[in-house]
Order: sequence, then structure tokens, then C-alpha cells
Amino acid sequence: MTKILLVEDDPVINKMYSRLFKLEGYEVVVAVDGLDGLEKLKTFTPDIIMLDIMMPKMNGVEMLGKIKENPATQNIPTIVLTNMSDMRVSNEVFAKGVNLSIIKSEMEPDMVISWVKSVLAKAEKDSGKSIQ
Amino acid sequence: MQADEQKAAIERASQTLAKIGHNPLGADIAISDLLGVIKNYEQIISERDKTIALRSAQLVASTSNAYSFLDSLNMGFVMCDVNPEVVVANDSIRNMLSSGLNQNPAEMTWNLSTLSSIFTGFDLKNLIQTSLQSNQSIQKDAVNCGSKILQIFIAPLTNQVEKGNFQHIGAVILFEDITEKKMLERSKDEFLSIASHELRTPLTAIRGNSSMIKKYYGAKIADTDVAEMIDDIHDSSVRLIEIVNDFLDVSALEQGKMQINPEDFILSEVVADIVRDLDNMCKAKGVVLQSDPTLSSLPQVHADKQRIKQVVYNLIGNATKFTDQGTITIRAKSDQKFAYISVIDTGRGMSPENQKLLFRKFQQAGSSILTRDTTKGTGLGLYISKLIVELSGGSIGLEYSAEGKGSSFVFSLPLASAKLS
Repeated sequence: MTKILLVEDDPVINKMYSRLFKLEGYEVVVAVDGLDGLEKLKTFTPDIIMLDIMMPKMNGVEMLGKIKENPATQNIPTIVLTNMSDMRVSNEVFAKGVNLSIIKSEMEPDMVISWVKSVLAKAEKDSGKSIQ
Repeated sequence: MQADEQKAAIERASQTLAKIGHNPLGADIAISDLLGVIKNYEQIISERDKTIALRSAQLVASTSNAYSFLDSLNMGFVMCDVNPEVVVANDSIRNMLSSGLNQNPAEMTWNLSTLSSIFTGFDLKNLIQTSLQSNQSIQKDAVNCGSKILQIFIAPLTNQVEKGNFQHIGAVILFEDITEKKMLERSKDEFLSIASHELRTPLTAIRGNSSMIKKYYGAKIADTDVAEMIDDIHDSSVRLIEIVNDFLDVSALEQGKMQINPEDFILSEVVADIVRDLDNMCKAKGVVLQSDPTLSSLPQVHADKQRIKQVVYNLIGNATKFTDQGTITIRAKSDQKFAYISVIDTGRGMSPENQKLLFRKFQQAGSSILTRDTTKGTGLGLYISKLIVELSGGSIGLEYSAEGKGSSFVFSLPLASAKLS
């Protein structure tokens, strides 16, 4: 079962994505901000991390930086969720090594699932490891 | 006293002296004559003194009027001579600078060197000299002075020495405090990004959830009416997201805040993507959507690829909306500097009155505000396209349109090869 860490502060959006992944048969762990996300990573190793940019306490850009600094987590593929007004941040996150940036408001569920699957497939190919 | 009066008086005095010289017996008469002349002069001098006093008083009054007028000005006013050195500095400029720098105005010296040193990254003295030398006024839009932001305007002052001959007597410098205006702009920016986040989040939830109900719970919805209502909820959320995106694009473009990342790219690839997206919709209507071979031979253009994609999508999308039979063709040509791309349809066309309404904000080509086809979008598409194309260094327009025959829209973009010239 594919494991995903979802980091999103808005409760309605958080619920929506976690429901989507559960319906697709993923094991989902949710966090409500960057700090909470890093905490969850201490005991849960996901196959992919999906994180929002604008969050309280620690935002997505900072959290991404921390993920990439830690050898235990730096190779986990990441997808960042943006809301277009923070498009300016795009260059920064790509420089930090994020795999993909998704615009939340343009999302249809099948698009999100196919993006997650393609990021996972590419990461699998790159590392030679197989992910069930 | 007139010159001829003076002359007459001197005449009389010399005649009287001559009389004394020639006839010592007439000396009494001559002397009393002289005394008379002297008294005359005394009167003249006294009158002149009064006139001088009056004129001086008038001058003082008008100068102090001038000073009080200058001091009452909201703007900072400084006048300097040709050196340049400060001659007049009104209360406003003293208050502006002293409060901006948090200093006591009485402790500040008001000469040009001090004034110059107050502004960082900006040489006031140099600018005044440039203005005088070129006889042109100069404006600087945002100069920092401590906690304040100022707009500075320098104008040379000339005096007409004789007909057609002008002489510089100095310069006038006006200072306007635009700190509040700039703060307002900054808060407009923040409002824009906060509003965009706030609006898009609930819209994302509506769109995503209604989509998921259809996809994962479709089987549970036996009632076709319920299924249809969920479809409507989903479609409305998509439309609303597009409207929000349009509003925010217009805001960003009008404020000059839209991020443009120009690159060299092949336009035919962008068009091919859009043709693929819209092909099904056209086929369903029985309309052929095609791009001409001239498009594939077009040299590279230099512009923001995503934004131009938005423009092409708008033009082809519009053609699709207003064409019910026939063809929509995308054609291109180029000259030394520009690429010209046309979208030609065999659709409904527009009357001359409606053509005048094109490219304006919110105005769909239609007669009355009540007679709007609200299913056809916000009416902002062409306005946004115009702003984007112009920002990219090109232009956009209607080539022709005829009711019942069709329309052709064209836009131009700079060629990649032209940008070095």
C-alpha cells in the first residue's frame, strides 16, 4: 500500500485530499503545518510527501528545506500545493528539489492521482526500488 | 518730478547766478530766487521720500504675501539661484524633511549641500544643474527621506531679459509627500494576494468534492436529478474559479504587477496544444478547427509562453463560442521584427457598433447590459489578452468582421531574432 504524508492547514482541503487518497487505497497520515509534518516524519516514512505552501508555524518552503537537509528524508519525492498567488515562490521550491508543483484550484481528483502516480513511477525508476 | 521740470529749475538757478554775476545790485532778488529753487527741491525730495516709503511698504507687503503663500503650500517649495544655492525654503519642506529624519527643524541648516546629503542614492545638486543646463524640468517619482517617500519635481526659472532673449535665474524644486499613497499601493498588493488565497480555497473544496462525489460515489446516486445537480455544482465552481482568475489577472495587469517571464519559443507547439484541447468541442458542433502550414514555418517568438498560451486560448475559445458551422483557421506570417498570428472563423460575425466594444473591460459585444449572454464568460478575455500582448511588445486587433460571415482577429509578437536590435 502506498504511503503518503499530507501536510495542509485548511481543514476542509485537508479532509478532501485525505479522503481522495484513502478512496484510492493509499495509507494516509495528515499534518496541519510544517512543524507537525516534521514531527510525523520522525515515526512515519511515506513513499511521497504532499505539502501546502501557506501554513502557520512553519510554511511549506521552510519544511521542504528541512526535509531535504535530513538524510533520512531527503530522497522522498515531494509534491507542493500552491494557490497561484504564491507562484512567485515556485522558483524557490524547484531550487530546493521539489518534484512537482500543483495548483490546487485547477485540480480534478483524477489529475491529482495521475500526477502522484507519475512522480512515484519516476522516483521508483530513479532509485531502482519497487514501491507497492 | 519730470526731467523737464528739473531742467527748468536748473535753468532758473543758473540764470539767477548769472544775474548775480552781472549785476551786484540785483543780488537780493537773485538770492531770494535761489532760496525759492532750493525750497522747491526740498519739496520734491520730501515727496520722493514719501513715494519711496510707500513703495517699500508695498514691496514688503507683497513679499510677505508671497512668503505666506509659499508657507501655506502643502507641497515643499525650494527656490535656488544659478550656483545652485538655496534662496527660499518654505515651511512645508522644512517640516517634511525634519519629520522624515526625526530632527528638530531649528537645528537643521538649509543650504544645498545639506539638502543634497539628505537623499540617499540621489544627487539633488547634480539634478538641478542638469535641469538648468538642458532647460528641461525633471521628475523623480519615489525618493526616500527617512520614514517618508517623496516625489520631486525640478523646473528651471528663466527671465526674459529682452525680447526673445531668456536668462536663467535659478530653479524651483517642488516636493510632494507620497508616503500614504505608496502605503495604500502596498496594502492593495497584500489585499490581492490574501483575497486570492481566501477565494480560491473554498472554491477548490467545492470543485474537488463535487468531482469526487461523481467519481467515487456515482453508483450510490440512483436519482439522475441528484446527479445532474452535482454536475451543476461542479461546473459552477469551475466557472467561478475562472472568473476569480480573470479578476486577479486584470488587477495584476492594471497595476503592472503581472509577472512576465519571456523566453524564445515555437508558437506552433502552443497552438497545437490548444487545438487538441478544443477539438472535441468543435467536432461536437460540426466545426473544423485547423492550423495552417504557415504556422509551422513561423520563426521563434520572444514572450512569456504561459501568458501567450492564455491569449491564444482566449481567441480560439471565443471563435469556438461564436461559430456554429464551417471552420476556424489559425494562420501566421512574419516580417523582420514581428510574427502576426490570425484566428479566422466562419461564425456569426459582429455589427460595426459591437465591433467598437471589443477589447474593453466587461463589455461583451452586445447592445445592452441586460442583454448579456452570461454563459459566455465574464467579457474580460479580450481585455486581458490585449494587456498581455501589449506588455509583451506586440499589438492585437480585429482584422475584419461581417455579420453572418465571420471574423478575424490578429495579434503580433516580437520575433526572437529581433530582440537584439
